[in-house]
Amino acid sequence: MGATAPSLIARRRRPEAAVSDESGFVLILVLPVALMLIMTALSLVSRSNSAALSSAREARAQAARMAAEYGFLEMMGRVNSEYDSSKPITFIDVENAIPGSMTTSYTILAFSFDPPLTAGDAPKTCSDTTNDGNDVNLSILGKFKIGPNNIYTQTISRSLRVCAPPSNPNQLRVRSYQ
Amino acid sequence: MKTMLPKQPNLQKINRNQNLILKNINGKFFSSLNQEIGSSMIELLIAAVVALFAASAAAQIMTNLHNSGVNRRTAVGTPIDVAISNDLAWFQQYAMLWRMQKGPYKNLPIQITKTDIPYSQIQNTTEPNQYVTKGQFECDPINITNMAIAFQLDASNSATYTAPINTPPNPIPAGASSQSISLPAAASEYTLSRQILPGSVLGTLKIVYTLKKLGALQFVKTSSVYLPASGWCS
Repeated sequence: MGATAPSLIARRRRPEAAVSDESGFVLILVLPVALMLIMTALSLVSRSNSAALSSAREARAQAARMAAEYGFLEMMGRVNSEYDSSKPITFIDVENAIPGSMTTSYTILAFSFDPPLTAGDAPKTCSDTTNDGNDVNLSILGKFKIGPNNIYTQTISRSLRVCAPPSNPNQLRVRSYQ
Repeated sequence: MKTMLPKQPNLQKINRNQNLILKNINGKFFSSLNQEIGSSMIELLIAAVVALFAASAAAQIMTNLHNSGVNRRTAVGTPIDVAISNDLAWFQQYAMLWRMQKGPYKNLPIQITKTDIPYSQIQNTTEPNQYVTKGQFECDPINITNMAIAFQLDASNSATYTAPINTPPNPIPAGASSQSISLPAAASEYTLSRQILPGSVLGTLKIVYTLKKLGALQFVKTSSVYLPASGWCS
């Protein structure tokens, strides 16, 4: 019974695992840390970018909606001053740039009486004592252009209550809107 | 003796790797067998724990940075939107009352309507609101800016700010001069100004909001206000 031979496990144990020049310990410690840091950073950066992008898109969609609202309010003024039933409507499907803005515009997509006026019918005459009139449905497209292929659009629908002034039966006056 | 022999590391590595591969195939992973490349399971576990802590800390720091950026944008953007919305809402409310002769309100002083004809409340629900612009100079189809100018002049008169309309949130100049709009402290780096101009159509007003940050232009927003009184022109 002399000196016992070292056990199999003891012989297999790497004596300087943590400090060896070629040890995998440093690599295996640094590599996952680096990989996880990179993955975390990438995911956060992409999340941050997506948040910024969605925020920008929301702002642009809002700008397009503002353009449509601008068009609706200006449209009522045009109905009062430009509409003439004896002439074709000139303001449909025409893109109108908003003054002072190079990037926003609006287009009146639809202007229709509800119920539709049949041939020979005229809009009801305005009265100071009754709410007589006709309903008109409007559809307005607002645009916000960033580039030729990058255009944000929003469409809104509104209703007007209109009537024809006794002095000018071919014209319309907006009496209320919603 | 060992130092005199030429090194043959490749052969040794190949043998050890083959050994490791065989061990893996047999379902026994003893990485410590590979003295040059391998590491123990303890080391792997320590590495994984350290990696998790590092990633967690980094994620927390970056998330905080990101959130602070988003929160700051929201903190600045929202008060600016609210300031514009409040300012615009006052114009829309005053536009509804201006030149009104009959309407749903019980009382509406002529200091608000700016007419010679006293206001009266509608008694019958079938009656429409009425405005007194018929035949007025504001309805001139040639000088389409008359109405917008008259509206702005009346709105700029401080005597009009009585019930049912409140004092405007920001002063209203009589002309086209730019008016600064007050912003809360969160948006103190920004300056917001508003300019009132006659619209390109009779009965409309154009209001332009300009936002600058330390002098640099951020945006220009153009809004329109419709004057319901123009619907009574004839």
